[in-house]
Amino acid sequence: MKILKMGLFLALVAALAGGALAFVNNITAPIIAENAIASEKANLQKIFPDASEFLIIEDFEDEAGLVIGVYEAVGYGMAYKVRVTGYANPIVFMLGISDDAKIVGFAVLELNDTPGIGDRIEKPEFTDNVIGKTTTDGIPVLSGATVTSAAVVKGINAARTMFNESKGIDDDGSGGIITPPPLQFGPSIGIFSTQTDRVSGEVMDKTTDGDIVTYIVSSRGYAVLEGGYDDAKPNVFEVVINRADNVIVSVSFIEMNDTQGFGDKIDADEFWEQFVDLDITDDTIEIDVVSGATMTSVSAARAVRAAIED
Amino acid sequence: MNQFENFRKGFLRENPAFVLYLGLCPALAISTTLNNALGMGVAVIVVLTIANTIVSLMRKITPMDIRIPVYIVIIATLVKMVELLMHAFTTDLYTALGVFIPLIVVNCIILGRAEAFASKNNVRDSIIDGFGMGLAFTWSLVLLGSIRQLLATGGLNLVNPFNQAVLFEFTIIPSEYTISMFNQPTGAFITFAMLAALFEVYKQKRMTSLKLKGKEVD
Repeated sequence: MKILKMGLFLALVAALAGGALAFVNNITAPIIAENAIASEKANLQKIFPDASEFLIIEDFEDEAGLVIGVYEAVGYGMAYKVRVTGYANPIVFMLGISDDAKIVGFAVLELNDTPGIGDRIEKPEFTDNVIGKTTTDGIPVLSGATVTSAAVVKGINAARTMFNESKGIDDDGSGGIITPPPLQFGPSIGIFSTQTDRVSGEVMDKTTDGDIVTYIVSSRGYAVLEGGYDDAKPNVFEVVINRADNVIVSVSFIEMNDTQGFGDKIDADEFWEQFVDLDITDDTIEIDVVSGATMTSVSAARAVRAAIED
Repeated sequence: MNQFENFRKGFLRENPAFVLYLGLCPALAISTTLNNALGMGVAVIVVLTIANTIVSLMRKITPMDIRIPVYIVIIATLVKMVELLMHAFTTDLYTALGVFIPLIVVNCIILGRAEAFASKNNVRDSIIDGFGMGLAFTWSLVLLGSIRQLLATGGLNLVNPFNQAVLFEFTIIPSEYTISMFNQPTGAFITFAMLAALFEVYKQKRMTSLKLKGKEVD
């Protein structure tokens, strides 16, 4: 009897406690939910500026472990908050995918990678390749900012995989291949322009084979002129000229001493082919510099000029 | 025991943290800043005062054999309520204190006061005891937190947890001379040990002086 009484008493206390808790929970639950959205609302509105109602999706599963938050912009689409490890520190960004499976927004929230390199992922050269893609398209990484952009692409892939799974979109995986973009050319410079006049290349060696003359030319690039590295060395080029026809046969690298990831961008067929068959008697000949490797491109032009004028 | 003595006892002579060594887990863990210390302190005051009130109100109808489970249910409910309210209205403080808010349930000061005081005394005395003890615990936390924040960051600041408005802020030690160790658990133990030693000195002195006057030592 006594034990029954005690049991009942404890049950009564627990029931009262439960009731009181339910009451407080009723009051606080909507406020807590609103707070959780409020802290994210500014970020969500960068992606969906027109949406007014956002919901938190608490129950999500990400195999890659990169997605840290999932939100629904009611009537517009889904937003994914993703954290990946970049070159230096974690990168946090928000990716918006519209209901018709297009990437509509990409906003970087935290980024501490090298200014001028890693932060290129915030610039149109990267974002233009993200926004507008469907959720099954691949996204190219940025050459020169490979580590940062590849990390972000990995995060985007995790988010769109989650989106595709939730919407039942079949992704054959073909879009997931990360390809570097084609070489981008900047402005043209003349071989005989003032830019090549100011600092000239130096012919170190030449070998003659009939009319074909092969010059080894050193030319100061970014490392020497701007870099201020302790043991900065000029770039060394091989320039082959046909002295009978007065045309350039080929230009190529012997040694690249500028920044890896930048200067070596010019070591591409598309760049070297520009020199082939240029008429060395024509003082208006010009080449396009590779964007992101301007100084190195100019050093190549100077080397060619030095060889022609030798 | 008169009312005032009842209220006052926790501050020095029966200080829960530095003399009774109770509630040390939150005291050491969250006393990194004045803000956290004060926030935790206020949460403990609220829980302790209401728990003491309810336990005292129910002291005549609570069966002796199951009094501890009953106290636990009451305390756990109150702590959960405080936790929900803090989550809703003081989100930053809630995030800063983290798991130590639900852990107030197992803070032995609260169960200790319920068992040792509220279950044997009337409601008015129990409220005074709970509030006094809570305030004493808070002042211990504030002391610990202020010293640690001052040494670790060179200054003190206090923000209103409801709207994040800065109430006051100052820096007196240049950043070259701050000791970041005091932000770490090591600093917590060192600060705590120093303060506990000071309290012990005070206690010894008081006893000696009481003995000299020929009074009874409690």
